[in-house]
Amino acid sequence: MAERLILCIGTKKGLFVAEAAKTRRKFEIRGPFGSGVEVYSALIDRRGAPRIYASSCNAFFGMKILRSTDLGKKFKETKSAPAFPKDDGRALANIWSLEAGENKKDLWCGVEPAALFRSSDAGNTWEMVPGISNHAHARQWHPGNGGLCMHTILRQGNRVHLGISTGGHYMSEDGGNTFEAANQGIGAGFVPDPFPEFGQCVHKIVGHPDAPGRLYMQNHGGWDERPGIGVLRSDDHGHTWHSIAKGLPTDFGFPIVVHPNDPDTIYVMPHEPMTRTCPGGSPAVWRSENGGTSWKRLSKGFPKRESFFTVLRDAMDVDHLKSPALYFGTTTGQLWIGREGGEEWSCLFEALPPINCVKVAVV
Amino acid sequence: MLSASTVGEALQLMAANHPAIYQGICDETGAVRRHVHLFVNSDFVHDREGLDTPLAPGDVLSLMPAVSGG
Repeated sequence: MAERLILCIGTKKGLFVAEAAKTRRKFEIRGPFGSGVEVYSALIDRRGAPRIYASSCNAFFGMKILRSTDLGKKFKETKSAPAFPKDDGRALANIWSLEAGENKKDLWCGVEPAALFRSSDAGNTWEMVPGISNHAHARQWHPGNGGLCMHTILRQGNRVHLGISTGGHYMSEDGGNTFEAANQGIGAGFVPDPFPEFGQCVHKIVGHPDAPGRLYMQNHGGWDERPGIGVLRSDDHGHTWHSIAKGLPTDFGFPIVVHPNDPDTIYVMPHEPMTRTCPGGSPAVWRSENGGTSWKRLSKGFPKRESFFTVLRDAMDVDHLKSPALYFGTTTGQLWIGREGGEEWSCLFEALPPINCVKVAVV
Repeated sequence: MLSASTVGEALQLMAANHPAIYQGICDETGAVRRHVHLFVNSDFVHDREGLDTPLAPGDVLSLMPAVSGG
């Protein structure tokens, strides 16, 4: 069967799945799945027979994990969702990240309140990872505006990077058994110490397999008194970080995405810090092709004014085709595609429910 | 039909016999989920003794999901 482009769109009212040929001419959408329930995370798992996973964050009756084995035509709940041990005292409030583990059925899951769970049977049973979930700092983390969430799980061999808002960046170098805070150079604008040991409001972390040791981060920036702490880069596996925000209209934003074929090319979507919308009501994605040394504004196809998009941390992704396209969803329910690496934008879907996350893959 | 002397005891019986339903009513800490309301006959248990509200033979325990939102 010819490869298809699959787009998972997690919204306030459930999960939508859009599908297209690799030409990306026409997308057909189906859903919502998990109807009426918020979806904050999705995973298109291409290992072996493709599976799609999505969190279904039911504020009334608890959390579920949805799984599809037919490219998102039907979804069923897995046998269980992550849950804190009975004597832990914490209760699961949300599921923010789903990532593939090492073996075919291994899954990793970041939750709110910030903790990490693993499954070795495709999401049917889950175990809490104590190395980070019971870390000495864990009871000192505080919720950001979105909640106390573990939103980023980035696995690079034995190194595992976690993003916690507000907890900061934590790193394991033993495959995820033990974790240490690694926040040197990551600033915070909301506590007296501008560079605390931990407690930063990290928004997203990305890396690239062709540039081992290099990471990019969208942190909570937008502080006049502490400029330049919002968009960061590390060249030593996340031990230290430095600003690459120079040239951006603001260093506040939520998502950060790296080009699939070029580790020097990254994308951010700057937002005004007070409104968390595009500066001046004029949407633009900003691209650097030199690892953050300089930035270019990409806005062809977007409205020129009166468009106050908010794009959340997991609501932007890029496909892995030869000339990749970017995708982002807004909290006002628009799903945009940026063809030719973001050179030209068009709106694929204009009136979906508010969008929390967007994931794309060719399967 | 359940044989329990309090609302909390009835929920523990449910946890043992119908865990999937129980998980929709209570979280991991045993707290009743925010949007689920429990009544003994027509009394809201929050207005009585919460999970310690006593049950007498013939009492009806109702579990009402108050699904709301926009």
